[in-house]
Amino acid sequence: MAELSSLVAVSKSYVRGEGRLRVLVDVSLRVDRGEIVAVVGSRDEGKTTLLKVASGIEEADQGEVWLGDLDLTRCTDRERSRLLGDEVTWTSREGPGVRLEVWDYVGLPLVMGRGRGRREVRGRATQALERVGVSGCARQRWEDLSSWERVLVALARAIVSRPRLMVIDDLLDGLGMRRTQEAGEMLRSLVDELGCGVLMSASDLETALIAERVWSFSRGRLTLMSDQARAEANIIDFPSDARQSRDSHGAGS
Amino acid sequence: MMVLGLVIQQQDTAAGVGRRLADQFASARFPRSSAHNNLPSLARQGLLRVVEQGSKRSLDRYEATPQGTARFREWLRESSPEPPALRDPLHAKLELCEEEDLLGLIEVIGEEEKACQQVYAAAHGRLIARRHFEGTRTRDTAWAARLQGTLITDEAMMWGMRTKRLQRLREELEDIRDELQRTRGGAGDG
Repeated sequence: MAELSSLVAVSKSYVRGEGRLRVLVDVSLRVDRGEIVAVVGSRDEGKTTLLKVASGIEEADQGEVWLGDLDLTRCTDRERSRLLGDEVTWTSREGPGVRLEVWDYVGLPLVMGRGRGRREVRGRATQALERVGVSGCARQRWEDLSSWERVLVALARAIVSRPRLMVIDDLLDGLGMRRTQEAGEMLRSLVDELGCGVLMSASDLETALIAERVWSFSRGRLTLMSDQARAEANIIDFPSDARQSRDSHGAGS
Repeated sequence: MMVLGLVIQQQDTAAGVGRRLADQFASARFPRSSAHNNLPSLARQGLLRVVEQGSKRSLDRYEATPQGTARFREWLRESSPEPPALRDPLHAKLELCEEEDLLGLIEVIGEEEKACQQVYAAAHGRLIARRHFEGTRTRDTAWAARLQGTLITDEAMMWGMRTKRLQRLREELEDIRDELQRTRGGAGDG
């Protein structure tokens, strides 16, 4: 499978008082096309930071962050914000934070600085909502949706720009076994249809079972728990032009 | 009871029941002798009977009696007001260890963590493989397939939680070790 996104030996810390809080410690990870990768860990451990670094929202202190052949650590803010929305979508349960109708919220990744008209944006948002089976919610507001509808609307937002990489932050936690399974089936069909990859975080292990590759995240470090993508493919296919640094750090191993 | 349940599912010999015990309850790691010992004992209690005599005892084929089926259904509905006893050797080791055992314990927990992670990965693999066959369900088997999925998910979660618990324990012990080393270093400097 073709490599889509990778983090190589990434570290990040925040200033806290006189010291520094190390949130990511030498983290290496990859997501291939057609693959769902889950990072499972407790809340407030830094999973969201990991996802934000992978999607270019936050910068790493050290290490490499790749989206395909593009080194995000060398991109300008402008380039990164273009990628976010077109190539990478970020979605969580937080919602818009302001009062927006669902189709406007879903269409947001298409709007920011891209000069698209409202009619086009709403049309594509409606298509995305139809795809996940909640077109009836288009004119409602986020606050009025059930938690399951919010999950589906968030997935619609994740696919509206047909991205290469969907980054999903704690969206599917606590749904219960049946709904988790439904969400997993939906996500799998979207990935197959778009040919994209998914990097998702989860606080519960049940949610993580949706993924083919499961990483445990604790104290800023990743430990591989299960790699069914590798079990299926047997061999992970590095691109022929694989960079030296990736080989030396064993990204995705 | 598992041996009785397997024979209720289908008539079988000791060798066959032994194989099914190992396949269907792999994590329980029943000894090979379980089926050989339990089948004659269940027959003596009138819960099973021999329907076909084999050339040797291990090839005798058993089926459940109506009394055996009734006993099994009764067991299925039995509940216990008490949670099961928790006898985890690791608890005892943590309770009874001395400071000098700390490094060894970190290693032991790390090994157990790795073993649990591998079983988790295997259960996760079965779950993924099962998804590929979702479309082959018929209406009659849908409930059984769903139950099977629930069971595999439960097993994966149990091993996953155990792995995470061991990871947390190991990390806590590593913190204690580091703290001790710092205290010693500080005392040495003074």
